[in-house]
Amino acid sequence: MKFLALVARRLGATLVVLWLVASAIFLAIRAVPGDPAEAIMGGPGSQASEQALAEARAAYGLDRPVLVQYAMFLGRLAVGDFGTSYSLKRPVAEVMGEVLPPTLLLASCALLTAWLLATIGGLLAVRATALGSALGSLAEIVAAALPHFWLGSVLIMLFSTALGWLPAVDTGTPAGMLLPVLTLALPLAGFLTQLLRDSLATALGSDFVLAARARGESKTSVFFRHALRHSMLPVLSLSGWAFASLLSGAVVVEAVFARPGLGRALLSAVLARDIPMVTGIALFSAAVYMLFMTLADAIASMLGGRVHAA
Amino acid sequence: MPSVSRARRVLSLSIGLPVALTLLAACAPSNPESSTSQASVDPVAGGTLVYASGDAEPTCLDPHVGGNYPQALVASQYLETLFTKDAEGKIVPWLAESTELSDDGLHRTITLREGITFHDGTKLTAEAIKANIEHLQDPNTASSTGYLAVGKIEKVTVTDELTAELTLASKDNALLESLSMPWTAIESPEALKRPKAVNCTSPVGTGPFKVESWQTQQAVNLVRNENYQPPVAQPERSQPTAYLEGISWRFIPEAATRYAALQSGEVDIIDNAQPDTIATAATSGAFGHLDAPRPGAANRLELNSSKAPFDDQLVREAFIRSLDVNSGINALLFNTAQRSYSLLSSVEPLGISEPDLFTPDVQKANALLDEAGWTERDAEGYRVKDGKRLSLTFPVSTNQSVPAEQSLFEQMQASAKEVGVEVKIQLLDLSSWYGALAEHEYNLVSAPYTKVGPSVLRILYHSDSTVPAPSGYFANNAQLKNPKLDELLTRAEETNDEAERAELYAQAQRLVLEGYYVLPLYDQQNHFLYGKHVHQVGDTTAVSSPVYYNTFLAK
Amino acid sequence: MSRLLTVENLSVDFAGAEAVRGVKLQLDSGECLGLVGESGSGKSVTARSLLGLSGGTVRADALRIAGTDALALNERGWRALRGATVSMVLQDALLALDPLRPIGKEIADALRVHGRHPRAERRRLTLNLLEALGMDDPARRITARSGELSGGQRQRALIAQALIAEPQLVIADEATTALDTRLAALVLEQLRAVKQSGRGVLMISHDLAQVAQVADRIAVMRQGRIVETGPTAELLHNPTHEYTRMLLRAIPAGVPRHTPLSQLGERITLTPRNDKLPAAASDPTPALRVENLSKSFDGIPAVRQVSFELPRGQSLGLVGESGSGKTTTARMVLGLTTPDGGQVRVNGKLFTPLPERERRTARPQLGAVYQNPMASFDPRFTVGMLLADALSKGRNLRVAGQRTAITELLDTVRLPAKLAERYPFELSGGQRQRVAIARALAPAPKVLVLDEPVSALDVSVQAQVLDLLDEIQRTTGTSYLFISHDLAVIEHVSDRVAVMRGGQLVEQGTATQIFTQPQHEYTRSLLQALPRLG
Repeated sequence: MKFLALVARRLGATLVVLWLVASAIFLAIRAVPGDPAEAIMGGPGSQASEQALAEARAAYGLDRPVLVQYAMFLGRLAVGDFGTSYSLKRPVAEVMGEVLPPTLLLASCALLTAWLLATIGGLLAVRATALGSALGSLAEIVAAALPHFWLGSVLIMLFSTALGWLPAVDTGTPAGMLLPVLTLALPLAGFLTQLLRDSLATALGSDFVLAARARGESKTSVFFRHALRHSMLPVLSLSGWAFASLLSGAVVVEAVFARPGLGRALLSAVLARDIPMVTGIALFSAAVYMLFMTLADAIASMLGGRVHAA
Repeated sequence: MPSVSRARRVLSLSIGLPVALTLLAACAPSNPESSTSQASVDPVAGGTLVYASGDAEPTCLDPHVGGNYPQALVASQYLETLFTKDAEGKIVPWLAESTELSDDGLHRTITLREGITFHDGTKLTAEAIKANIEHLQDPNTASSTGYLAVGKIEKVTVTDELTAELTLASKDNALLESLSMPWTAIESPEALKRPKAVNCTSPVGTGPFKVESWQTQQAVNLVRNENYQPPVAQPERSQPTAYLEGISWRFIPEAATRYAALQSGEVDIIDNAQPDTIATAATSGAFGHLDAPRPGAANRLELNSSKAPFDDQLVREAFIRSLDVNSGINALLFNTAQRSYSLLSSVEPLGISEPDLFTPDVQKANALLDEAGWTERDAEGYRVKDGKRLSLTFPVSTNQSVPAEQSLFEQMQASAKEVGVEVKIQLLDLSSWYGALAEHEYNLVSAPYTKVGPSVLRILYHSDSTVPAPSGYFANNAQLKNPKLDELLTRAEETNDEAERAELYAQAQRLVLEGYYVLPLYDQQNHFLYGKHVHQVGDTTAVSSPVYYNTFLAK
Repeated sequence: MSRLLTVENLSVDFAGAEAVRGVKLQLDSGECLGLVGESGSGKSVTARSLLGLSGGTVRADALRIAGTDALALNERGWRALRGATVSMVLQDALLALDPLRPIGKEIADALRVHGRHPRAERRRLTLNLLEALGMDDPARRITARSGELSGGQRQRALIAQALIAEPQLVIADEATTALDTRLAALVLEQLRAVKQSGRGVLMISHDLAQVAQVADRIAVMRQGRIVETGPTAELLHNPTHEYTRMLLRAIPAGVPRHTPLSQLGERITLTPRNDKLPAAASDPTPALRVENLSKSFDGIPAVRQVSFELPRGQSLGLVGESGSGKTTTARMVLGLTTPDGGQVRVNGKLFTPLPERERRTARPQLGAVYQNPMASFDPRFTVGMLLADALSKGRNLRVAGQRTAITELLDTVRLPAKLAERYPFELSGGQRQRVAIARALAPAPKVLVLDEPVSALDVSVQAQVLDLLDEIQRTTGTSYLFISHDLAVIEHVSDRVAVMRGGQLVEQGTATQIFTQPQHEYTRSLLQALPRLG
């Protein structure tokens, strides 16, 4: 019952957030210089005739008063009509449907890789000496601070150009995904490992861990059998946010590695002042954020009930 | 650059001009630095060329729609034009066989070659000319470049199967040049009847390749046109079709990634090669290099003469004299660009060059500024007059100016400071940059313009071009409103006498150059790097976009 | 009979800081040795070093466990030893069993880790052991997690995981601490059984009374050293060391009301009484009157029709096991939880249920002291600020204007005035609890509600606090509602006693009545479980 109530509350909150995001985009785009009608006609310098611009304005409702435009805007969004992309001249929903899968694939792989790296990092932290622990901590901070753009370019230089082991651009093979996934995963892994290390310290200090060791279990076994599950909670909660933030990291990574995806579509859309596309992607991102955070919270509350038994 | 002459050489072969010319071209000196003389390897058919472009992916593969250079690059493989340029830059017929102009200059007849078919099997007839020109002029097509090019055509009449007559509203001696650009290429009339969205994804032309499929954000897949007939017979070729089985046209906007992909062999050829990679490739000899400057205007700085301080010619000259562009090109562009002293691209035969006007002379610059009344200096060393600082706003489009060029501008900024002139560089995205220009918020600007032929001068320097389009755009960034210049440019467009035309354009150019309205830098850069296994790269169209008809892959 | 444990001159250091020094221990099979000490005595460190889990640098002249020379062991050697030769029972089965794993797995792990028996066999052994320990329906229980079991079942599971690999030495580290009286009695019984089965038991605790129930010999530790060792009876009746004497004296079980448990208590008894004490008999209105209080949460009743009276100037001990509803009752008395039914009258005037604005003026008449003061102190405030906050009724934190009052309050709880500048984290547990009492007394309340005020304290500190509370009551006439699960403490501090179970009051009366002639069988079972020092 509580679980359903939580979900229902979140759903309501999501709708409010989406409405706020949509309104913010609406305002922001009107604040940016540049005539939307021009963008529709193919960008500034398109030398479109006055008549063509006027027709474009009428077709897209740009000649109406602002409040009317806002109402139309919200109304269309409410029924799921994201409109037609100014530059691609295709329905936004259709374009997003095409570019979404590669980005989702990239983000999912990156999240899984980050988890894997964080788990390894946690295990190493458990078994480390004081010096090793300090070095590990430093490595985590450095990793978390790496900017995607720099990291991606460096990985290309190292593994593609210098060593020739991996391709620089997407080839459709798993090998082609390795570098982009690493670029997204490493900073996140650094952050998650720090988190894990923190909660591991707490978990490892608990009595049941001591009891396990008193039974003769090795440190590694204790890590996997006991400590990891208990320290996963904060990692899991934050993974909701992390996955959604990977979407924004994808903008840079897709640009550097020339991968198709949502991020690249957003980049082009912003540069071309393609308002429907930008709106569609921004709203989608907001929805994904809310969805994943709710999911993570739901899982956490289910597990948390057990963990905080008493 | 020597590579260009090699390109012209190959092109001249395929035009089928008199043997003498061919022999002459064949005897032209080849540059030992040019790393791609693989004349010893025999052509072999097969393989897919992987091309990586640094430009933004076009939104429509039909260059009639809109009309920018990335479209031209890809469309040059599957579309052909009525006319093209030969090795010396002269306009010669291509899909057309011959052409005639009426005495009053208002009726041009074009006769097509026989036996040419489109990818969809339909025959090339005069109907196509009519259909294409109407397509360009149709507002629904939303053509900008092509639309302007055929702007003076009033109507097209089909007189027989292969002949059409174009009626002009006024004399246009740049028409043939206009019809040599990919943005006015000939598409199948049947194909043009399809909805625009469909035609955008699969335009139908007569070229050696055709569009098989287009996965947005991934690649445009071109395949060999098995029924290709080159408009001019190629007797030395064993078969008329292209050697390559297909081309995979990809988009990799990040320069570093693009070059890395070339180095790792994932792509065979890249465009928009950066100066540093070109220089590295030249020294290592690892890659072939095609240098194909774009036609039209050279890459130049224009000085806004409509407002202070550049409304004063003394200040303009002083500014230009204070800059040492050549050392910048040396240091920042690694000498990959050749300095230009002309308004027009080096591939334009009618361009004139005035190096002496642009010799750096800091002393003279200072003297001129003093003479112009900018004698006081403020605390930071900049000149001041009537309480106002000598400050120049310079919006720079990051779309068009590569990092090396931005560095060059920064060097100019430093040089200008030496003589007390402040230059404020604003890095802007394309839309914002257009906005700044439309608002007249600039004193300096670099705005490239690609067009075949010297008629580009009219677009850039006639006073008509100071009148903004509905979108706010105007091409005359120097804001020149000189009646004498206007007259020269108008007459130059109307005369049919080649010599007179050349003379008029020369006078016009001299007027602009001597007025110090423009600082020419170099040709519009158009560099390609390719792997050593790629052979016979160098054929280009009239707009200097490569055509891969003769290209083949061999280890 | 064999020598299971020989420890000579054991010392344990943590990064140079000495925790244990010169410890000598001996244990034979069939014997139980008690290791008694307060927090910081080093008893837990000693216990853990017998498993190689102390985490510090261990040195000894001799350390032999069941014949093995433990000094020569590496980590792998220790792992072989742990669980199979020597095992540990920790405090609180809720914490010592992984809440995410079924208890069956936790128990069988001791076998699995040592590579014995295939899974089916392990399961069988687990079930057998649980049944032998008295768990009902073990087959169903082994898939449950510790949080899903009752207290008693959990304890059985906890013992089981220590015994299943049949170790020769069992170490019980604070195994009965924080447990309800009856559960604690169960654990003691289990430890006795372990001893009688021929194993050796090392029982570590701060509760001398409980250790005395099982141990044959006791060693008393203080600040890392053993101060006294001897047979249990000897130690209890003829302690040689002063520290041991102090510990014995601090045990509240069986000590009559108003008799001081500590030296501090002795000192303050000698100070003259406050003559201004209002005669208790002059005003018959009870300080607190609770009628038919009830409260349910999510449909589950927590408190059912609870009624009692607290006469002025007296202490009512509310005793019950965890989950009996005593804390909920306390919250309702304090007006922090709204009851579903019933009334609370403070000094005759209705207090609950009343809207807050109507009873706000009456609030200063009630004070509260909780088990864990750190949780109720804002860590940013100094002691002075905390008291100033209470004195000004929450209006300000200005220490300057109330220095006199603050010093007086600190004096009431026998703390030096300069403590006002310290932060709570700088104080010891006992000092903190005294500050909490001082804070509660700031508005001079008529009734003080104390919810497990000494449960988290060491026995000697507990003695001091109890003595203090007694003195404060005698000087100020404050009435106490004293809530605890510890029957021994309740016996010592209460004039009247109320016994709660499952949300209901099963019995109430004077302390004498309850403790000498318990009527209800539950009360009787509680009293039976109370450890008495014989």
